[in-house]
Amino acid sequence: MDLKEKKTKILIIEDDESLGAALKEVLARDGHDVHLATRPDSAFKIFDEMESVDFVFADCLLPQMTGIEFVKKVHEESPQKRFKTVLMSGIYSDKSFIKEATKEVNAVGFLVKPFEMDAVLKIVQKAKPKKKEETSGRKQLYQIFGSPTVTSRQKRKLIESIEEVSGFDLPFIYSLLVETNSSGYLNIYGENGSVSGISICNGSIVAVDIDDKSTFLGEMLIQSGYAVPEDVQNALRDKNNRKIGSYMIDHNQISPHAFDLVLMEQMNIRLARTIVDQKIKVSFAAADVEMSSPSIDPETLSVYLHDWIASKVTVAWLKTLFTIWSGSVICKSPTFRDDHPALESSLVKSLPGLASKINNQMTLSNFLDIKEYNELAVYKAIHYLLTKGLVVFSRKTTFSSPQEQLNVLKKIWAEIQGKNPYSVVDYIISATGSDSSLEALQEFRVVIGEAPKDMTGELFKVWSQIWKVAEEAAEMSQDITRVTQFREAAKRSEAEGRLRATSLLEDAKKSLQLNQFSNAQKQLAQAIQLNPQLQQVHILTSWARIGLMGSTVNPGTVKEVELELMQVPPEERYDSIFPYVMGLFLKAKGDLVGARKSLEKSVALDPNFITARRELSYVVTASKKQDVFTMDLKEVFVGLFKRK
Amino acid sequence: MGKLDAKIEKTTEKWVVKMAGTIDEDADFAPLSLQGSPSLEVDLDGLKSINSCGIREWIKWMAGAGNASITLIRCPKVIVDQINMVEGFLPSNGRVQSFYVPYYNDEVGSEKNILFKFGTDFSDGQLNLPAEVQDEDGNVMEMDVVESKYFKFLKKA
Repeated sequence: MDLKEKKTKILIIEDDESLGAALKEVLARDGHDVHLATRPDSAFKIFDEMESVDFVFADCLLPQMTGIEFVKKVHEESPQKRFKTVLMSGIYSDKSFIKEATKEVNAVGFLVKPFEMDAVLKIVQKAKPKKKEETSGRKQLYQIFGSPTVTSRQKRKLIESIEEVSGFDLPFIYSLLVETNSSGYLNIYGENGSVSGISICNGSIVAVDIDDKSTFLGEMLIQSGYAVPEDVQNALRDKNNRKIGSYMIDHNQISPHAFDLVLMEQMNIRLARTIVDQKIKVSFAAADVEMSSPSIDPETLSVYLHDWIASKVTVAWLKTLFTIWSGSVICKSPTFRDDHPALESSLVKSLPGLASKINNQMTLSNFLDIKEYNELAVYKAIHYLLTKGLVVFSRKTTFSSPQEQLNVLKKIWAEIQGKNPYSVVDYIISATGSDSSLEALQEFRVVIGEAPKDMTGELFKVWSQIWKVAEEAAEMSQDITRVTQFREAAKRSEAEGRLRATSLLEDAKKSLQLNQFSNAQKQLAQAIQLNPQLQQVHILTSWARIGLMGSTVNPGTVKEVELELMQVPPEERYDSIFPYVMGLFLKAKGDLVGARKSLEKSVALDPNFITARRELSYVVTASKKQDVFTMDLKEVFVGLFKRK
Repeated sequence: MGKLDAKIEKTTEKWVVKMAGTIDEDADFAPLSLQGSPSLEVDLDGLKSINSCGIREWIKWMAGAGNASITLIRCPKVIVDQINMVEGFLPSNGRVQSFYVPYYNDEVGSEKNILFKFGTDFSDGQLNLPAEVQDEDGNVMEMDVVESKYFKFLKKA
């Protein structure tokens, strides 16, 4: 059986255990996915647990109910599961019964016991639906920009074809809808029953509706520099309860344009909040949506996408996502152009020469092997270009050489080695975008490539290790009770980890206040291991790293801090710590004017932030000491002409 | 934003609401209060779209019907999608009497919505798909939805 072909899923219900086992073995050997039950109650349970069923082989005479009643009942209870029925009986063998029973459940065959096993295989072969070559919906979704034109129907069909997506898939979906000038509503359904939505008009996002309506508006106005804290405070105190924006515009405290920019940033934060490490469902319906202002156009979205991929999407998730393209060459899409603004983005520019290396010959693995490239930056930059539709993965999934296969397999082994079977199953399901562990296993086999012919080399050893672990894990995942127990235990352990991470974060904050930067860095590193989504972890890590830099500024460390700061999500940039750390960073780079501005913002947001006040005072004094002859021209101009 | 065009007709036996257009944040359900409804029939034939705000408003509105039986007729795909994905979109006292299934021909791009009716095309837990659907020019069309997902709600019907 071709491994790319999906296995036919068969449920046998037969109370004669030896016959059932023999039937199962023959069908399984023929490459089918076979489940056996000896009683209707256990058969119902298995049936419910199977994502889809192609055949039900039912013995006519069973305990509890007849095979015909069983088939009718599952048809009634699960009409969406469409399967073919084969009846079996040793007792009811007269022609009139066979004819009537076959008609009653629309069976494709009736096997009179004892029967030849060849007859069983023939029935399955004959009745098996002729499946078209299928690629998983998620995989197709990420390849859609490879087509020269994308119709609304194609987009909708692809989004619909995926049962569940990750919240981390949303930047791609937003980009797909915007880049293809869509109009309509994208509804997002959370695991907790929440519904969020994005309204899009001709490729511009005009509204974002999420459950959490917290605005940050006051902080954003101060941080952006468009308004002074006193005006914002007065607007917030306005007894007429008018909207803060209208109040400030009416009082000439902010221009309508500046306020629109702040509102756009607010939409950015709301969109960023939809990008979470959780399973979600989405639906897109094309509709006429009115244009309104402000809106996020493709150009602005491009900046936000970069920001979300840098700050929200985890590298662990990206590693799993990209597993399905192990061995696939990264190709330029029809919209790629050498002067595309996305190629000037921070992530792409942090990898010197990346654009020129995208030459339709390099795989992801090849990029990761480039020594001067940071792994996190490679994953994120490639994902950004993929999200922008500038690159696509080739459909070809064979490895160009045994060495290439070995490189990929080593990376996969690093991801699954030492994990428990259920985590391995989660990994292969996520990595292949499949709906069930058995489907995922087949797709995974395609991902890791054919078994190497040379059975003595390292390649064969790694391949065999991976396949053994994956097969065993998929087999064990069939035990629903154990899977449930494991998932509950994992949830408990995750919750404990989160608590510990929060506690470590608080310790790190104390260490930072006491200038114990090394301690803080260790505490934060532990915290991020326990909860990569922990709030403030990147900004505090940046603080610790800057503190450790001291007066010696090393370009390598500056680059690391820049990468760390890029990972601070938009919603975490509106408290006093972010501008404080930015101030420290600018000061470390020698930009005292920039540092002063940032520190002033920090103090404006929290006048009681003593550390920021102290730092500001230091920077102000240092700026005064700086002689005009040592300043650059910009600083001289700012110094001479700034408003007093 | 689009407009919701809704009308309510009340008789002693049942109230009938006809909806067309878009259900969004501007949709005004106040004139459609369901308090005291003996039983409710909602005809959704002209409904074009519903966004997330509209979904929340719909759920609140439906709750107003209390224990009265609710029947949805001529549900377009946008409504079937919500029934399948949003818990409570179709209340426990609600059922679908008829709904549209989109069909498509890939070669000529023709589209058609076929109305599936309770009792003939589907019944409690049963689905009777038409043997063949053709467009105006006789081209054979295929179902334009993922069957396993689109018909999930039939368990609730």
